[in-house]
Amino acid sequence: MPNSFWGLARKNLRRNLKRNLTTGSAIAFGFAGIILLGAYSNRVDNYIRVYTIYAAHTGHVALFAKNGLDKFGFEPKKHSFSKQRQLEIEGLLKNDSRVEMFEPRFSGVGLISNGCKSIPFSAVGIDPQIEEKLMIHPEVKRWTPQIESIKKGVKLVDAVKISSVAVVSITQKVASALGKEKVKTEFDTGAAVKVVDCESSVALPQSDASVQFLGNSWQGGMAALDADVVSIFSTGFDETDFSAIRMPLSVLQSFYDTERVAGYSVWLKEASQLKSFIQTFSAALNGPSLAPEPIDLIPWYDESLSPYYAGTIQFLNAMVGFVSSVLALVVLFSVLNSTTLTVLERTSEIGMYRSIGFRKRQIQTLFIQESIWLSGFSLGIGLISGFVFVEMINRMKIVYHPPGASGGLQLVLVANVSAIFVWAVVLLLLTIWSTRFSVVNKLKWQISDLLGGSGR
Amino acid sequence: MSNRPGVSAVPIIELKNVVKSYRLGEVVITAVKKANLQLHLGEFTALIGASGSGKSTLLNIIGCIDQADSGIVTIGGSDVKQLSDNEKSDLRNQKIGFIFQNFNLIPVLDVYENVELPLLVNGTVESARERNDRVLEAINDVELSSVIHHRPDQLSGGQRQRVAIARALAGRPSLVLADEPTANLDSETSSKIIDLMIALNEKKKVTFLFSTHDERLMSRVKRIIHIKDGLLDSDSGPAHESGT
Amino acid sequence: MIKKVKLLIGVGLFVASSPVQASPSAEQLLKDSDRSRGALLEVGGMTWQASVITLENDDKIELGYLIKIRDDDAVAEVSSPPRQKGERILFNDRILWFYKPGLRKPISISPRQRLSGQAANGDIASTRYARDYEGVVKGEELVEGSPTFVLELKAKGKNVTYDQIRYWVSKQDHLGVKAEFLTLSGQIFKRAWFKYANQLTVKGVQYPFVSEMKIQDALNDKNLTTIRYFSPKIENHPAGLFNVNNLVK
Repeated sequence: MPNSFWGLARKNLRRNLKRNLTTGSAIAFGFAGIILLGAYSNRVDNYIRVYTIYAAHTGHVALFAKNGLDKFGFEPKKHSFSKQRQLEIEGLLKNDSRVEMFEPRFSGVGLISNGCKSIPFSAVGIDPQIEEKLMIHPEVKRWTPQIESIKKGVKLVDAVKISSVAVVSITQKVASALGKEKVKTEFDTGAAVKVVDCESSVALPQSDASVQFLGNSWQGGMAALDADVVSIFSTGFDETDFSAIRMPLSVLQSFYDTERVAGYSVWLKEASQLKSFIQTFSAALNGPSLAPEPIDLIPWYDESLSPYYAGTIQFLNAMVGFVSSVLALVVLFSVLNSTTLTVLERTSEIGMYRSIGFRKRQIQTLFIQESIWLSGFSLGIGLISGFVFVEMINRMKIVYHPPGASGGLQLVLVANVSAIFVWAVVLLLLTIWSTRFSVVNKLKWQISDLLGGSGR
Repeated sequence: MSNRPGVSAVPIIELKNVVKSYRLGEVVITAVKKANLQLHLGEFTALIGASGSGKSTLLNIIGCIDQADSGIVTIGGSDVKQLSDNEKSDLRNQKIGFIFQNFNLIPVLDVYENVELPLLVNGTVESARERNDRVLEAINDVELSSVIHHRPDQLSGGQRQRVAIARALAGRPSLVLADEPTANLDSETSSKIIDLMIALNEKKKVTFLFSTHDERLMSRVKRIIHIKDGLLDSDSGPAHESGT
Repeated sequence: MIKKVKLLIGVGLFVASSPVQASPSAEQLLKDSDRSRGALLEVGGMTWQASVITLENDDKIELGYLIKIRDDDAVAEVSSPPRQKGERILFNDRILWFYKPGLRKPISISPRQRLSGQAANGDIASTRYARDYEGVVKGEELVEGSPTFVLELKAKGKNVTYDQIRYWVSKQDHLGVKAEFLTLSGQIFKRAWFKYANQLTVKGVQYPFVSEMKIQDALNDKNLTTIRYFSPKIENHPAGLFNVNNLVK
């Protein structure tokens, strides 16, 4: 029994052309809107993901001493790894084929001074070579090309060659607060470092790129360090830019007089291996050990490790999901309204089909195929429009200032092909469902009532 | 058993004590009261009655587009009450053709496509070629070959009704039911349509049953069934044979 | 009658001419207690040793210092452990500098910054509460059976170790025996107790000198730092020792 009426269905679209155009427009622009929203969400999601994993040195997995994520700052000695444990962990990481690279984690707080004025700092010790690899990583180049490792000066990996003392990278806000906007390479080499007269009423000119760090040594007593500012960087966030410092890990450890580390950031070759890595690596680390310091393995997207990512994405998903659902509902109701009217107008025609031998299911199929033509065509228009709008917006190079972010961010949309496909299917199914809903109810009528010729 | 020339002796339609009522608000109206009727292959029959007499209801019951409340309706030897909805659809498609008062053509389809409609779901048509042959044959029968690609809005009333007749015949039914087929046509066109139907009845040996209240057509018809207030009042041959 | 009047006048004159034991002022109490905590202003200079023992988070850290005083200046040099030898804190009145070998120049620090555990930088040099705080005697209390004056001290300026102090000074010998260190909002964040087992002879007069200051975290009494002072002596030091520009040499 034949069940396909594509030709007839296509021709029937010419009836009620205005209404079909209106319904088609609702579908097309609703879909285009969903594409735009999805493109924005896709880009933001990937931007923050890549920023979190690579630019922020989080890694795909963070390895901490037990409870170290929360407690390292308060009890660093207790929640860190000894040298012995570090050797064990690094040995396992080097031998794991899933691991692309890893970096010890170490951070601390204290005061940074220009000789007269001190402000609090929050320092992260990094491996300059890992930093270099992260900044040229394909994911970073694809999703966050505008993030530079430094805004000005010399990268830490190169800077160790130009200074006899420790080298540091500070943010613009820290530099402004201390009057250290110029970096080491902007001064003559060999310029002496002077003790400044802080009581002098004359404004202190910036005479060098020297800064000093003060903190509490892990061995008791005070920790102090001389360093040269070799570069200016940005964390990307206003809040953290007020106190962020980066320096080589060994320098920071030396400052606090310790060999211990808080943990490791681990980057995997394939992000999809994350869960299996956590499972198997955890088991390996809990095996026999000369320094059985328990560990926590935390995936990068965990809210405790990446609160900004988790919070932003939750909010974004909620917003985009809500708006997309509203758009889908609008499309649904447009189609439902249109098909209800169409079925109403074609009641006697349905009766005619039934009387000449069309089965109920065949009439249903006919109307559904009409809907598929209409929505298919409209989705196609919507798809093209969506991509055109995405391209237009990207070319406009709109810069906006998200709350908390330092500097502006260019509005870039990246279409998410799989999401587009899913939404297209959803919208198509909604259209089919609403058509079926309208037709099925009508098909319950007696044929004579459909024809309207019963004489009643 | 009928003794009319060109008419089969075996009834293709049989009604026994068929009753049909319907509710209009609080009131129950019996549109058909204990109808007993036989129709044979090749008959050309008019069902005549005033408006509201029950003729459309009776046609609907015979055409399986309405269901009797009681009684037996047999079509081609099958009791329609025993048939499923799909079986009734197939019956209508393959055994019965319908002609409507207001044509019921699809405005976006041309003559060919309108006539082809019932063949799209006809399970007995084995190929597109056979379907094409049947469509062309039906169009030829109603003499509309010259306007085969015209749409209904490009045709006159009479031409549209011819298209409807061709559509009804495309499936090679044994019975054609027409509910007031000339009601929307002028007298000259009406006469031509009746002539066409008579010619097709004689040529194709298809049973025609049509309802009308136009008495001018009665003289052209071989059998007349009167219906009044739901009752089959009389059942006779052509008016000149009965002497009325 | 006249005899009675004469008697009355005589008694009145006698009472008027007798010295009355008035309560000491807060300033006097602070000056007196400061003397036993290193602020012997009449001597040119002093030297003593201090050990700072910190118990915190199941950890014990011990640091040794040699402290030299000259008028309002002081320098505290780490004597132990060996890895921290050479570290110095210079006190130029209320301006503090820290230096350790390897630094290109000294670092300006604050007296209220943490030295070790509960001890602040300002705790190991001489105490000058009379100079740094505005005091008011609020009442009297018994501390371990001894009567004391209770003083409320408020910082005179910003560059002092604590914003507010509640200070118990013994009535008998005007020694500071107990202190509570308060935030600006009046919350206690540290407590301290003092002992004076050392003796110092100045111009033939023996004075008690602080031997121990125990400082405890008000929120976690397991966190405790004890500063022990020993071998105090009068000693002159050259002015150059307290010059910040000489720290690097």
